[in-house]
Amino acid sequence: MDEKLVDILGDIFDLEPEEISGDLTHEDVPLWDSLNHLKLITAIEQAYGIQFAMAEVQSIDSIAKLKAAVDAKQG
Amino acid sequence: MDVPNLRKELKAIGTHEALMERLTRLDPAGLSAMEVSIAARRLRHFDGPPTLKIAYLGNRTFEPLPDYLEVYGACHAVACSSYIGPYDQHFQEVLAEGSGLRAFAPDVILLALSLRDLAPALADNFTALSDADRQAESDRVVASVKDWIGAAKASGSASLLIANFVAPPRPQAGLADLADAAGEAAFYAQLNGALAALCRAETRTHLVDVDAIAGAYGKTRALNQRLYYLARREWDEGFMPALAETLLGYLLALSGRTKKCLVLDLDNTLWGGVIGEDGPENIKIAKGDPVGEAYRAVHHAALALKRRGIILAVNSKNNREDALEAFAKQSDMPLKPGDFATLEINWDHKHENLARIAKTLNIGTDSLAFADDNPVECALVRETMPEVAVIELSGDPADFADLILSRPYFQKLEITGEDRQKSQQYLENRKRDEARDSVGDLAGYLATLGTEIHVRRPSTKDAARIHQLFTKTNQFNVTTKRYGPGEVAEFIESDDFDTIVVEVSDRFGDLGTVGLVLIDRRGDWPRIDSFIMSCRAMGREIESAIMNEIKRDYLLSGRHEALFASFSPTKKNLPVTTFFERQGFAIAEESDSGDKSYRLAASEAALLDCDHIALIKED
Repeated sequence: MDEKLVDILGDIFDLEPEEISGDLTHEDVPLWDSLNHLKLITAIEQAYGIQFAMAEVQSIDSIAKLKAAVDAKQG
Repeated sequence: MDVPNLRKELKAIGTHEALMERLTRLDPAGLSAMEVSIAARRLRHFDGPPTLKIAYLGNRTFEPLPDYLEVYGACHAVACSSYIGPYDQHFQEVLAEGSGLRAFAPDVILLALSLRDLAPALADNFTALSDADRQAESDRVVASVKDWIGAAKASGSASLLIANFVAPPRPQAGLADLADAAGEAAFYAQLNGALAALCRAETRTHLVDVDAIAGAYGKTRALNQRLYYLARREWDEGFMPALAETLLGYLLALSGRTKKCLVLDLDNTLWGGVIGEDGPENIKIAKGDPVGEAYRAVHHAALALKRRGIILAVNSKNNREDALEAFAKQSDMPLKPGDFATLEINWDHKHENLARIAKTLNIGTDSLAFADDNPVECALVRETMPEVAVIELSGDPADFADLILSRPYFQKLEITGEDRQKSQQYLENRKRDEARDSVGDLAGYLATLGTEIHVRRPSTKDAARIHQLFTKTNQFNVTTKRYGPGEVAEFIESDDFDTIVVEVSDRFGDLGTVGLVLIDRRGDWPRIDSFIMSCRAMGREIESAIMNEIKRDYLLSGRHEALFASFSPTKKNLPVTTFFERQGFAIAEESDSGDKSYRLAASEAALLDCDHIALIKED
């Protein structure tokens, strides 16, 4: 996972880098509530210069899905 | 501002105090969204000292606005805490005894409603409505806000901030909307006008012009449709700094944390160029010269602040004669030497001059803001006097005026007669000082002043000034209780309290309403809860004349057998440490923290000699 993504996840969910892996879902992360979800999406969009559709915003519920969505946008 | 690894640094700070101290050295406008988020989380992590409590109510998702306000507040040394009411329950929250809002007991409530839920017909189908329907909807919305204000005021003593409605950036009728006198743009102007009138008519209620703040930022960017659909979060994150900075202005004004004096440098701050090098005739300050016009705008900004009641002063490294010659030679400069309460023009360090300016004006250095173009001077002042707000005029002079006017600590929610006259009063003080120097001895000087004081009970017209005296007076203030506007209204109206205001004038001019006494009558004996005098009235025994009147009224008249008084020490109220002893009171109780309770028996009440003051009692 790239450093930028780990940084953002660490900042928003208050996690150490070694705690972050693709296996995590929103149920595993105490701070992953609906407000922090939007914070995460906005931060990712800004950092990567991409934009998610509303349906994508709703479907991203794990770090694996988030990473896949970011990779797909970046082509 | 670019602070590398600020996020890591913030996470590592171990105490609330250290975090607040670190934040006061940051310019909030330079913080990224992530830095704000982390700073807010860290602030909440600690059990901080007492805070300014802000509640957010309405039919919208407020986050992350509370984060921004808590962090921006911390950057200005104001610790805030937040309560966000449940969605669309602003009435329940103020009405229900056991609500979260009641338990939180806020100092400030922000009500920000969206018409999209409150009046969907207006928001969605404006052009489908008849003129009568539009009017009926508008009346219903204003009446509902009015009802809420009434309920909120009955529920506690919080100040109320009411957000107005953002007029849609694209009216449904398009360009044709402007041809219709009852069109959408006109409708919102009228609706917001009615809301503004409502706020003006209510005490401790203030309008927040979100329509104008969003307009200045760009409405289509400020209103984020995607986040509204996803989470009812209408305000874009990018809009938060503008909104938070404005709201911070309200908080600083309500809590009395505003600056009293703007201190200005001269070269490259009030004009382009350096007098010592370019000569007084060659500095850029003329109309018609682009750079000169930018500096003239700085003069107009300073004069606008002066009319708000902010005192102006000069702090410049120059030969004094050269600088005064520049003012004389460039005679169409908007600012004149007489606009400044004091001019420190010499080769001393700027921070030494700032200390001198504060002393001359009899205010604390934490009441000063200092504007200078030189980054080294700015850094030195920040380092030596962190309590002074530094306005660093870097970049293009075209932006300087706005940089000064946009500072949140120059905000007032109402400009009183006192504010308008303040600079005049400081000028009169300068003349009094000169008179004292020529008379020599103090008693002789006091006798020549011809001081007259008017003692009276206040009316609601005095509420704004009384609130100012409670929140802004530090030195001559026996208990330094910072009462809010709601409590002030109660003091004026209730029979449980006697409030006395004192106006002072002398042969040099009018000092205005400078004295305030609050007597709590709820106990067995009347108790002086607050005794406050503005610093510009200190040193002439006015306090003894006021106390004589209180002794006459409460004790010598036979109304009461004793009068009590309270004192709490602060870092700043040293001038009143033994005030009650000097007035003949005896200590009844003293706590370890230095709080004292005093008692004066009617049989021991003696009037102090202050024949040089004429006291007039008004009904």
